[in-house]
Amino acid sequence: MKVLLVFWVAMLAPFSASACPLCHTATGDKVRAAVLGPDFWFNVGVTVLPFAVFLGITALIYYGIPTRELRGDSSARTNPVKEETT
Amino acid sequence: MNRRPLIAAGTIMGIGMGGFVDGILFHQIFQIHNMLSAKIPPMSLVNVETTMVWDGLFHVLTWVMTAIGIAMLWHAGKQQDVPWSGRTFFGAMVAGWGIFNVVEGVIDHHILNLHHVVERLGVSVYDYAFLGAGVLFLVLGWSMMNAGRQDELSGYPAPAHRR
Repeated sequence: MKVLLVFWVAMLAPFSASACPLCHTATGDKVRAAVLGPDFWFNVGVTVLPFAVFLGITALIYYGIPTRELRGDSSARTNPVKEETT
Repeated sequence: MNRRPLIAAGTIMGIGMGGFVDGILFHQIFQIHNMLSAKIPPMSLVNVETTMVWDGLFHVLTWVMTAIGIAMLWHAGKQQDVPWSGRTFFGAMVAGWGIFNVVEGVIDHHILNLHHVVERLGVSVYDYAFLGAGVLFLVLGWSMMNAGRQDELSGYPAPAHRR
């Protein structure tokens, strides 16, 4: 049984390896061309996008939601109300 | 007491682990979708190999999320004012998995249409079940974290090196 398994792995390995994106074979060249095509950066961007959101959510949890006061915006503080003198 | 470092560490680790569940279970074992399978249908060897590269980038990013989570947990463990609560940490992990499902589901499945849970069906009930599971995990994680508030009040035992 083990001999058969090793045989099948040995038979399959050269075929799959010849299609790898780094292989200089007909299939490897096509895979490389498809990956590095004109929409390469678009594909990178859309794959990364959710993870940028995840990092933002984690930063919000860690640092808290920035408020005006934390940003040093003095206008956010309530100014003392001047008492009207009559 | 400051629970934020522990919750943030658990959340990003949960996001990473949730991403691995999606990538390993759905992309690799069941092969019901791939990262860009709506754009590049895996119907030929070249397309399968191409989508595998983008699955690889997805796994790189989930690995990075998990690694950041481990680093944050290590940092939280060294802070004296961070309560060492299992309910808070594991609740945050469950919520993190929920965040993964909701954010990834909304962006990739519904807005950008990069892939769907069962690709051959397109947008299907499984995509909504994916989102529903995310909301469920969020609620469950939130309630676990809420229960973890008691840990800091009742003097939940800290690791030996922090006593």
